[in-house]
Amino acid sequence: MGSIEFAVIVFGWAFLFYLNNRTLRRSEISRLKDRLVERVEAIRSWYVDEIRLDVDGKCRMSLEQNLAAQITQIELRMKQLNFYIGCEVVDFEDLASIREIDNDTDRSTQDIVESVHYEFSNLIENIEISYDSYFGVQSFLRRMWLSRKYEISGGVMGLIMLSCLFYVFSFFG
Amino acid sequence: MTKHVIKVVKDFDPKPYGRTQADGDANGTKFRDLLLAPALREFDKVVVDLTGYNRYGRSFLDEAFGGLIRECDFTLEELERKLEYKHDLVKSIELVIRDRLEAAERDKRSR
Repeated sequence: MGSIEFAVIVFGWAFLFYLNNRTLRRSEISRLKDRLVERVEAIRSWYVDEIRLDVDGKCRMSLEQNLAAQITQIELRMKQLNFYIGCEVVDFEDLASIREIDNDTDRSTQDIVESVHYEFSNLIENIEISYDSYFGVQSFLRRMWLSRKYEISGGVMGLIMLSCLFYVFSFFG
Repeated sequence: MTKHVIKVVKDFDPKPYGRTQADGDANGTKFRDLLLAPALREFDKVVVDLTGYNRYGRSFLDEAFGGLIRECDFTLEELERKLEYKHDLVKSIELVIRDRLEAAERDKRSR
């Protein structure tokens, strides 16, 4: 087998590996994002139901505590998604807004429900927008840099070091 | 410069909860009046480490931190200099505290 054929085979396999890896990665990110959105919607429904059931407002403090616990779970999942993608595509600011929903007893149930819908919708919207902008708007090179910056930096540094070594050896040799 | 670290779950309660005594023993008012405000008066820098508990409610955070401005006559500028707060795992809790401090300052100015 000639060196050109060998290079073509290696390049072909590398390209297939890249395509396969890209598809798997994309579907995994999509799955994580969908699960995150489903969880956020489930928490919204649960919270609205509980607030409506709590007619006299006596359980609002414990509801607030339970909401905080659920939001922490969402935050941990968002962290996993960000880690998997390799950059911070989902912002924690929206979670802080949900944590800040004021459910003190002097607010009407309707008022609280409206705040809940508003803040949760913001969060879902921003997760979807971040996902779209990561896969849709950003160029391939930018996406590659965001998700593989450490590997690329390592590769470039390695090449620089090899070039330096080569230069030193050729200078003394 | 003197520095003091308050670990909430160790120095106060493992499960802080609520705004006032009516909500329970581990409330925000108690934390503020017994630990946080005295430490801020005594030391140049106070670090509040919230790590170890992930369910801080808005009421607790608002009363413990926002209450410093509303009830204890601290200013936002003073707290930005003297107070540091952190949660190693849940960053949105830090954002809530920042917002509560700013809201308290706004309320105080509008009064």
